[in-house]
Amino acid sequence: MQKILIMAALTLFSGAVNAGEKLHLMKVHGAVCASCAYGLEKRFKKFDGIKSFGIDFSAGIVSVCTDSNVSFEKEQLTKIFVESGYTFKGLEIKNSCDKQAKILSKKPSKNSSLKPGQNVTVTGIYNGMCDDGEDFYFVYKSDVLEVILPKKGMPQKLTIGTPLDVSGTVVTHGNEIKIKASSVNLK
Amino acid sequence: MSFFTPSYFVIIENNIMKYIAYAFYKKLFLLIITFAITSTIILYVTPAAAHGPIFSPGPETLYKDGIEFQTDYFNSKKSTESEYELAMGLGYGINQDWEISIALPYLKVNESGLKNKGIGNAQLETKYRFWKYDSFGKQNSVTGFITAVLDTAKKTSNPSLSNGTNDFITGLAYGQESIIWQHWASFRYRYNGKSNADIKRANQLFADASIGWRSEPPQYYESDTLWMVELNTEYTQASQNNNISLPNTRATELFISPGVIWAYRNIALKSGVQLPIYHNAKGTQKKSDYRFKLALDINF
Repeated sequence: MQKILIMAALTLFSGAVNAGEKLHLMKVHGAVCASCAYGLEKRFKKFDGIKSFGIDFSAGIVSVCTDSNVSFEKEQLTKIFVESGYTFKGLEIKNSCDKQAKILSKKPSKNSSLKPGQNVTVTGIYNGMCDDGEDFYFVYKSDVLEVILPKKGMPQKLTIGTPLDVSGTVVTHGNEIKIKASSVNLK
Repeated sequence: MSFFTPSYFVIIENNIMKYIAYAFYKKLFLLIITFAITSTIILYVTPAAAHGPIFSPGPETLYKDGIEFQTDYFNSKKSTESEYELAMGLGYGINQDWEISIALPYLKVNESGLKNKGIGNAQLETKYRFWKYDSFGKQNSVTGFITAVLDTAKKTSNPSLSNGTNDFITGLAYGQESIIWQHWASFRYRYNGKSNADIKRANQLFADASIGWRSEPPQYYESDTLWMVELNTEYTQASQNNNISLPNTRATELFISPGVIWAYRNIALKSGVQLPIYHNAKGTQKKSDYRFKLALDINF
């Protein structure tokens, strides 16, 4: 009984910690290399309550995980990005930092549970466009897959972390597993 | 024969002329050697070069209040002449578009068995990015820069590390950088000062084009490798003495320069080699064999 109470307390406590986080996803233009983006990290880490900093160059997204009481004004963000040499294009806030780890990963999977030739309909999250503009990154279970865009019918205004249903055929490209999509829909 | 006879006077006069001619050509020879060495010495310290090309200027500037520490190792060989250089540089971002930097090299020169080493010429540089266009995963920019090459080198000669003048370099650099491909172009004009002996070392014009490529988009918390190839053109005008052009001083050289940049967040290691592919020089000027550069940049 005592163990159950301790487990319950820990669960509640960890839930409280997660609830105390905020993920700031900022669209950036002009960020192309890690060594030049260091100025952004330096500036954000001057603020109190910053837990982690990340930047996804492929998606053009800067992600900053903070305590829930931290907030940034648009003018403040514009100044931070300008002084770092970039252009700030917009802010989106999530109530959890869980997605940050995923959006920082862009390594396409080579050993997915999906098998080449399969026709599938799977649910995952949108993780930004690839550099070629013809594929997008898609987090399915714990794998990062590239999805070849369907000829028509992509949802508008996708942001990183948006849940999606992807239907299509599993194909291989070199060692990587991709899904050649016939349809992509908002979950 | 009397001392005052005209023929004896002519002999003395001829000897004086020979001495003057000897002194002039010796000086000219030293001048050309000095020029050949110092022109290569000074050009390859490129303070605060960050993530741009290795042998030519890029358009990048430091972020506001950013500090860059750079150390360069440079080695070149031209026939029987070789040179080794270790340079330290420090850059500061006054704002996101305006950067100032200083660099100071230490040199070791070996020329046909004659050796010299010591402090080289300090460089002060200011760069200003006057145009920038950011788009999704891409940045285009143009930067102008002025560099003062100060005559701080060790003054002892044979072979000399100093050319006895303060020189200036000015130019423009353009860059289009994306997460996979990078393109750069630049041109520079180097104005060399006139020495006390009324000798004017040749001015130079440089034109560069570079392309860089990485196999996959960079990850912020992983190392990033960028491969690049540069084409570097150097046109050297004629040196002058009393406004008269000197022989053996005009040259055009073209180099192909493969290189690589390895970076992890605020640390970048760059290396490349310049290989001559075209050489057209007046007279007996020597052709470059190679130039090698290794640089470490750290941003704070």
